[in-house]
Amino acid sequence: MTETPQPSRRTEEDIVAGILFGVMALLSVICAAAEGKLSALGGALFSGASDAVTLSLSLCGSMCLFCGLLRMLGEMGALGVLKRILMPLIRLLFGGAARQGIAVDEIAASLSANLLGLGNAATPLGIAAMDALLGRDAGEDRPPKAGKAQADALQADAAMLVVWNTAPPSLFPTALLALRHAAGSADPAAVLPAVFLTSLCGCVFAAVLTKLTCAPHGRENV
Amino acid sequence: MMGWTQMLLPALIALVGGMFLLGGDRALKAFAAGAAEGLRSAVSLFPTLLLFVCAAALFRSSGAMEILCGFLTPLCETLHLDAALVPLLLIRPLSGSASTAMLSELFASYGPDSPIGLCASVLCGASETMLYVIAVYCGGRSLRYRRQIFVCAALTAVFLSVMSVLVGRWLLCVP
Repeated sequence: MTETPQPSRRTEEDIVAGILFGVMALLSVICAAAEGKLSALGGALFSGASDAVTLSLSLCGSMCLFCGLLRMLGEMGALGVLKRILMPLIRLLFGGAARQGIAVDEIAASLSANLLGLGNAATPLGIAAMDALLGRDAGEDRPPKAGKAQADALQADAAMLVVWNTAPPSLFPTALLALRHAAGSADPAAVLPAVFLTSLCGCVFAAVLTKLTCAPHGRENV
Repeated sequence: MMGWTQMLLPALIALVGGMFLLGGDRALKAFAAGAAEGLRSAVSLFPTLLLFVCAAALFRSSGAMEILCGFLTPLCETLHLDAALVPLLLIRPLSGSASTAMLSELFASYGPDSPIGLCASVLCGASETMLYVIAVYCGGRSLRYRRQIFVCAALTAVFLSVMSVLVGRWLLCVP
């Protein structure tokens, strides 16, 4: 539930937001008219607006706190340790990159950031990994000197990275914890094991599915 | 099962406290950088969040939410699914702000520790906004497996929805 704003994100999110708001607003007016509740709409709008501020403030404080703490943990060496732990996984899932020695550091950083709940950092790192895999350094695609089969293997790895990021294993869902606490939960962290278990299953499911569907040609030695 | 999870945050606090003591200046700088990132992120999240919370408030006050849930209840009863979760399930892959707004609505109506609140928490914690991830990671690139990426992500989103509700109910509500 943590996302970094990027240029393309604002467009997509804004479009969805606009459409959803438009639809919901119109439906609400129609419904309220039908049920004789038109006068309640204005009040709902204003209380909604102030609720949004309260929500954002409580999210803001916790997000800042946890982002700061986890980044500190990361820079104190947790990232290095994580990278060593992740290498077997990287070799398994991102075979092309591992064998060719391309983008491994970036992938490890992206995975670590996801695991540590640093969603804000995970996005730019993930984009850097995509660039490294697909050769977007100068805005061009990977030159053909890499060989078609090898380029395909890297494409498969890129696909794996994208799908992985739609369902990463979630150790520290910090925004969720903040929301639960703000809503007065007796034990905000009670959902953590369940969240981790579910996200892990989703991740495995996604990885298996991607491996099955994104098989590059002649992948024996690349 | 409930007892030990209450130790998680205190344990993290102790760990972090220790690292601050050991890390000194470097730790503080890193913390500040991370906190600033969090602030930037929260601030830019605000406009769309505002829109969605208002939309949800309008929707609820006009009675449209009840009508929607009323339509969905027969179907949901056959699936043993709470009708109130359906809007969240549908919205989650599409928009992070909307699901945040909807999650806090559910918390306000049913409580964060109720069965519905717990299932919704698991869903939001375990999944990501598919639309955003795909847009950001795939935007403007030529990818060989574009269609496969979308299909895999969509199927995973469905899988996560089903699993979160199941896990939420079985793991959290039974004991």
